[in-house]
Amino acid sequence: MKGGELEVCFERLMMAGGGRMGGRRVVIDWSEIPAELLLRVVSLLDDRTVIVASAVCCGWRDAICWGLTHISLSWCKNSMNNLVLSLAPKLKNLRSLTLRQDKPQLFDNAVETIANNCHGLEDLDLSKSFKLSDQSLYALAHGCQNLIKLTISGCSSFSDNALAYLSSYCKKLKILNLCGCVKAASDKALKTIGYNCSQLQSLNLGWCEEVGDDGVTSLAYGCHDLRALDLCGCVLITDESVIALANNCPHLRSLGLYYCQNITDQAIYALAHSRAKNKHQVWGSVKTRDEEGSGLMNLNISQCTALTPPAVQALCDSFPALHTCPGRHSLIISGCLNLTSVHCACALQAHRAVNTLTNHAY
Amino acid sequence: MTSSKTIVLRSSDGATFEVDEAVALHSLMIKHRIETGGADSTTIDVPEVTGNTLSKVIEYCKKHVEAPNSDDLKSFDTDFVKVDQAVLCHLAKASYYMNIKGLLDLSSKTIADMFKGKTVEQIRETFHIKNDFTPEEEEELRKENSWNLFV
Repeated sequence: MKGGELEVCFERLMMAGGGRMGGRRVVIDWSEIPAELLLRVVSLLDDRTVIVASAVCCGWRDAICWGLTHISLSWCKNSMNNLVLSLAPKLKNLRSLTLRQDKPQLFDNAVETIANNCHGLEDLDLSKSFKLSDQSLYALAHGCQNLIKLTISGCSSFSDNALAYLSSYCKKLKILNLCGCVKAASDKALKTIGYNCSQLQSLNLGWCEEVGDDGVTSLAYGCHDLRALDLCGCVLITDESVIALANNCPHLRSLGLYYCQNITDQAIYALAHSRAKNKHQVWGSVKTRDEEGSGLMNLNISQCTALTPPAVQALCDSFPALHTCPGRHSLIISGCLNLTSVHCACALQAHRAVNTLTNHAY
Repeated sequence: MTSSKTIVLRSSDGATFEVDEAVALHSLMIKHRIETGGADSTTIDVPEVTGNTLSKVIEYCKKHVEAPNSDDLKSFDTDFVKVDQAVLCHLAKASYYMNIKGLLDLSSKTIADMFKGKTVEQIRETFHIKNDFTPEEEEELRKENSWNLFV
């Protein structure tokens, strides 16, 4: 008997059954679908609906909370704190949590609850949590030592002592965003970070006005794997910082020096010359033409009005991944009217690019 | 006189379905059973799935194996999941157990769409789920879900 005939048989049965069901008899118990299947469905929902689903029944709540590894609560405009207090104790497998707020809602007790329960947390975004105090950082230091990525941009209440304390426990940090954390990002804290967080790859110190050469040089000495550093608005730093970075961070790809008006050509030449030095040290990637092994890819020197064209051109020549051309613009020189003559390698003929590479093959 | 082998699939309630091997292999679970079961495995038990559902699953696999590039595949899929909830749930579970990715994705997405824009109560109604929280848990949830009113 072919499958088709049976099929028709069953279809008739199903239709008859459907008529009888009429909404009175429930033939399937949705509260008992396999957890993996529920989680698969939930993975297709937006974050808010995921939370709604977790409040439907006990079975769903347990399955969803157990399976949840990534969630953002930034859509929550009014009761984020209560939501965290209630949910965090159940989110044992959470790895990534976004609590970025428009209007500050989060208090220390919520962060403490997270720290007490979500020990596997690797990624935490607490942007604009103005109401948090140092208590939160201490709690995270004790409870979330697996943190790899932490964003506390805009958290202007944190002190440098608390940040230093956190760094001495969260040694796995690779990405740290301290944009606007003027009090926290002092040279003292940066020294501690440089000492403890040797795996650091990306650090945002934008608008941290107290940052000085002491702090940045400590970072350079301690964090050899640094790839991206944003010092925009760090008005105190001088060439000393950039030279330390040039000499100690061979993987630096992105550097922001917007408004660092003490920077002179000396810093730029140090960066340019570091390329040659680093080629001898970095295995394997020396002969690559792709951007990955090509040193600096992004540089913002806007408002660094002391710089002159020969220095910046030398930099462009050293780093083929720095572009002034419209399509891939990565060398930002706004406000430096004297630098308009600087051009990236690809703005000229292709053979010039080849010459530039071979000139560095010593 | 087909050149391909046929396989018999047996549901939880004893219904049997003879299908081309190529169609059966659309289920990675069956593919695995055939590959590890030895040369004599021509009847495969699928105890997690009833006859009703299995026949629908086979219909899906047939279409996707025999006419994968047809223009009406999309509309076939859309119509395929225009079924009542119970059937949809059975299909989702079957595709999960039988490891049929396309059907699993299709049914999961259809179920996910049933959640969108709904409140907790509305979801309970849609899926006929009882609120089995204790009064204390209910109170916790009420505090937690106070955002419901404002979003």
